[in-house]
Amino acid sequence: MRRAVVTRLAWMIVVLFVLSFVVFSIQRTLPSDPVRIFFGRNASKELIAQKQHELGYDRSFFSQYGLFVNRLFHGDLGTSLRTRRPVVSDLMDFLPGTLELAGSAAFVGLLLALVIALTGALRRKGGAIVRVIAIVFSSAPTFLLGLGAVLLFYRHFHWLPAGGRTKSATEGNGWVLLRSIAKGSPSKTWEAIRHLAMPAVALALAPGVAIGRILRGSLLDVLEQEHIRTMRAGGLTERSIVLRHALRNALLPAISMGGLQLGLLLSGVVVVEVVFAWPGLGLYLNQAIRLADFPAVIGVVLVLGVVFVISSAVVDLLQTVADPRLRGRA
Amino acid sequence: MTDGPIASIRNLSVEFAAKRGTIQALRGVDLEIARGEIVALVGESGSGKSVLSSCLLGMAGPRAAVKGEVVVGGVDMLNGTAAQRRSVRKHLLGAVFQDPLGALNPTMRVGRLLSERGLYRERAEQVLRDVAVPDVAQRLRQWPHQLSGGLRQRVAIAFALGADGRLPTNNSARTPTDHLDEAVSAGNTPLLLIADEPTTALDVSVQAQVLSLFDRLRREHSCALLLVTHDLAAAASVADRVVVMYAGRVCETGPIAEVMARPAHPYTASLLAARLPLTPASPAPVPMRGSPPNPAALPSGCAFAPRCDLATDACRQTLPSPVPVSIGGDSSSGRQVACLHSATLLVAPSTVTHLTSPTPSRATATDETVLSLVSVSKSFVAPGNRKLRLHAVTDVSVSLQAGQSLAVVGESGCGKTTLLRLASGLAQPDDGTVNWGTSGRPQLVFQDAGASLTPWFSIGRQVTERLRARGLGSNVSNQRTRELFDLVGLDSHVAQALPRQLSGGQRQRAAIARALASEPRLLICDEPISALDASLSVRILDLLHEVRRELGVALLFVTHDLAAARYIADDVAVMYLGRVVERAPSIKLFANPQHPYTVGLLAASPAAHAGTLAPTLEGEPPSPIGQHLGCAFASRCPGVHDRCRTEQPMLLQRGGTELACHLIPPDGDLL
Amino acid sequence: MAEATVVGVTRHRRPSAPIVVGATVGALALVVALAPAWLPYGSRKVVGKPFEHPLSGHLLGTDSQGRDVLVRSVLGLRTSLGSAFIVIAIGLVVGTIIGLAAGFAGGIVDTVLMRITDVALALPGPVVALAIAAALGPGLGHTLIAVAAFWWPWYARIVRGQVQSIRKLPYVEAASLGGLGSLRVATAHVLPGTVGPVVIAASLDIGAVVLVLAGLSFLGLGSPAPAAELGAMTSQGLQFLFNAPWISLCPAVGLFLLAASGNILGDLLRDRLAKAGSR
Repeated sequence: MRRAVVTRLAWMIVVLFVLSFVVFSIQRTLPSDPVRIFFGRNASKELIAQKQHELGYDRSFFSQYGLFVNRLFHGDLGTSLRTRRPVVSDLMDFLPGTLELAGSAAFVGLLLALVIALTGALRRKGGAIVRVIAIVFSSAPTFLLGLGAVLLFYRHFHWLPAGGRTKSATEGNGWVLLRSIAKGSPSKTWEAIRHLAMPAVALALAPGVAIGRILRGSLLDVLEQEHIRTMRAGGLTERSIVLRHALRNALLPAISMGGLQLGLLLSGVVVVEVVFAWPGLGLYLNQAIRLADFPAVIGVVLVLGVVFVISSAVVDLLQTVADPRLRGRA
Repeated sequence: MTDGPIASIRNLSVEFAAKRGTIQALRGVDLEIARGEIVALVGESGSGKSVLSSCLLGMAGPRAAVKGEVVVGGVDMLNGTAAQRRSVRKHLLGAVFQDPLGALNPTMRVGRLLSERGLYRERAEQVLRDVAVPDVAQRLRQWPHQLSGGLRQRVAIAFALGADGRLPTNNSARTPTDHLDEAVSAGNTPLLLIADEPTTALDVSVQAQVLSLFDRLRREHSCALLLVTHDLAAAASVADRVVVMYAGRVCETGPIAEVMARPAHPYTASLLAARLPLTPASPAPVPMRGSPPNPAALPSGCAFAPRCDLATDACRQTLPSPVPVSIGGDSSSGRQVACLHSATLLVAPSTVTHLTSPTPSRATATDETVLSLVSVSKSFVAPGNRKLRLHAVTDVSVSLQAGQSLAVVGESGCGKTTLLRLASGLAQPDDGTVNWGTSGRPQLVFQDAGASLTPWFSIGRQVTERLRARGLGSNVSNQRTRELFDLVGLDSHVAQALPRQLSGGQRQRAAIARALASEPRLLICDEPISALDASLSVRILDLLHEVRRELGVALLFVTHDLAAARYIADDVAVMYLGRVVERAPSIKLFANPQHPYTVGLLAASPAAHAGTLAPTLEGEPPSPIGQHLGCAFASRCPGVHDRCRTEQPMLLQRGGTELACHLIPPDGDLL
Repeated sequence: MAEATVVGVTRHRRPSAPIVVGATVGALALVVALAPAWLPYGSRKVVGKPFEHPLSGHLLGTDSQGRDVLVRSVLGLRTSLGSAFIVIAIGLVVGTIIGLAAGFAGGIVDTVLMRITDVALALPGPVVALAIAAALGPGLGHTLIAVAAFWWPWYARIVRGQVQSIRKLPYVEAASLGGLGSLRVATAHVLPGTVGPVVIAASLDIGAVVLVLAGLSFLGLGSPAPAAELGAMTSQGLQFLFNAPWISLCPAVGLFLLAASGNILGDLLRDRLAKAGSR
């Protein structure tokens, strides 16, 4: 088990370096020179040359990569052209919002997956319905789900807010949900949850249904296996057979599907934030793209990339936990 | 009421709705099992024997339409509530299934698994010791995948033994255990174990250990056993009574020794006659005619009639029911037979038994060497630990002349499959040389014929392709393909069929035809009959005999099945842990085995012991991972002495036998 | 004795579901592909007042600039469909070549190619594609390149896995023992076995690629403004969501229908292969 963790962490670090290299290469192939953009058209040649030297832009490709990594370790991602603030400060403001949204979506998605997998699976009913639901939700663009939800629950029923994280526009950053829970304020928590509900569900539907379908199929397969027959013959109740014996064995394919859905969740979160005006990395990124604010774009990509790489490592380790047979192997 | 049956089945019928009609799995079956009795339920695949055991467990499943009566410990296992049936399974029954790999939840440690059945710490240790599991405390912490096949089956049996033999009395209005003898049921074991092919997936020596374990459980705990099996010989070694099933009906039942000595149903007689013999005196096997009936379209009369020599019009019209028969005026034995002609069979048994079948001839052997392996070795990276090597084959030399046939026998993991791959050129040895003389590459007949045929080409095309690859023209190839089909007994219109459209026997014939298209001088066979029913396997072996006689092809036959080896081969080589420990002419080896392992292996084979429990070879082979000092068999050898543990014995000549054992002096060497 | 019976030869009298669905989807795809030929006008033509309601002269109304929403949606569908095909085609070609090379060559070639593939898979594809598209500047071509760059590893992995497992199957071993040339073994006895899973993966991917491309276009990473692209149309309509919801909803529903057709097709194909495999 320890070896599996170490191997997986080593691989994660390799991937993080590759990610930084890819992002760096993208940055270097930008058609426009960020220094020129930063200082504007009227800047003197000397000033630009001096700044370029300061930033190391006159050095070789790899030595620049070294500088890039060095700056990364010091938390320096440059300055946003739009907000004129260090990109890192912007990211720190917006990352919690995205993490709260993506985390809630992951939670809702897993819950949904469990409901789909366990409902009717025991009586082998509802396969066709699950299939239709799966196709519908894996085909619906995230923004269509978002738009539909806004029109229905905000515009028509007035049940839920249309967007944002709180009622006031000034408190939109940081750990809104977690802070309100920590402060023990039920009204603020309820408000945060009401704001989270639509975007989180819109984001969770597709991955939740996809994982649920895989888990259901895998559960039905496992229930046919001989060790389950052994348990039935041993007089165990159907409930404990499913929950204690079958489910864990059925998890493996569902966990790999979860890993797959992770990438889609992280790109989906960007779109959902735009639809719901959610002040997170996605909204920040959307504005940055429209204004060609490349330091900001690169910063967001890097952060989302790191989140993805770390969470896929966690998913992989979960597989090792779920199946003891994987532990001996590297 | 201690004599009352603990389980009784009356007029049980089970049907499954299938796409191509209704499958009649059971058609009016009666069965009673008494306390402490071992009943063998024998039949080929599709005879309904597994469905019957599911019904006893009250687990026929929602898709089965069940009629009749099944009562276990006083509880109705068909119409009782789910909770009642579950309670019977939990407290009175134990079940062991075929596949020891799949029978244990792979995500639970052994200890946790046993606790699911109420076997906690000490009780679990005691039960594991009861089923002869070594190092009990350590086992409880292990995962199922860390155990060998034999150990897993023992753990599965331990799990089955978790039943305490008593239904909780407050459970229902009736107290089903009332009529049972309290003193006996307090033995803390199940009343009845149901074992569905429990030894089929195990090696011969482990098989014998498990069977004797069942026998001991019965003797010590009065635990009755329903042994569901296709293997008559295995059944005979422990069972008191046998129930022979065919097409969902009981065709014959009675004391097993008596039934085997004097079968009264033609199916039983044919089943006995089709057995591959292991002892020299037994008659040659007679393959059964035809194939098992389609369970979705059973005839209205006796289902065995189309394959029966005695069948008359009456047989084809009426469905015979089991009726008591008396043998030699004694009707007390409880023999029942469902055949209109049982009397004929009992009076004149020779009407079904055997013509003399061809015995292997050695005349075709010549001096042409078709295979010569000189001290080949092959090892692999050990699974789970990259630093260690798994030594599959170590220092093996084998040579074979044209027309000769050699069987390589051994238990799983002995290296026989690796040896086969080396001999066929599919793998390269780490050390030593492989030479096929001037004869070119040998051809291989695979264990799973279906998987050895390319799924998207018709079998005719696959044969023709080989001929074309040898440079033959298309007309000649087509002509030759027809000849080859004829030789292997396939109708030429089957040539257009894809492999998946053929039956198992047809696929194996097609695979042999394709191998012969390359005109090999050596045919290497990898367990070619292990996937086939007994009635088919004799026919495939006879085909291989014929090929050898007609074409002078040499055979290298790799198998775990001693009887098949004896039937097909002139010479037999026994492998143990990557080495050949004994090689001798077949007749000699089976009559007078020399190496202690060969002796143990032969002794463990149920076929070698008519109706008695085979003496077991203790333990299991050591792991092939890492290096071993001395003789690999030393850990299980009854006559082991110090030299065996330190010095690897060489394979040396002892009067026509090649033998690797320190205990038996080589020729001309006086101890 | 000759064994003459052939079991299990059944011919389907009725065309099976995948064939019906495939034909329908194919026909629709053709209709959409030929859209410029039968549509009354192009995507940029102003045909009426802004914000005309659906069914009031124009079937699905007009957008903020008075352009026909239905016409623009159909043309957008055509772009989406074509883009998805291009991405999948590039992915298939690159992936199959790399997968075959790795699977057949084995050894160091396999290790190197598969490590590259693993790294590519370990990166968050859509997110990095976003960065690439942003860096290359607006334009559909750039977006396609960006997505294709992260789509091939899936196919490489599937092809390589198939080649590796098929190579070890008895029928391939039998073919090589039977004196067939290695090229013949590879093309006739291995390659056909890899086609099914790859085709199914590709058809199941149509929906996913359509949605990823639409997401990028929604964020402004597709063709620049006047072009009719479903993702961009949806995001441009967002500001009028409460007064003129059709401007956003129509292209989004179009995307849904397109992705759903792809997913249904892929699902049925997968079923069929699973059945063929279990026989």
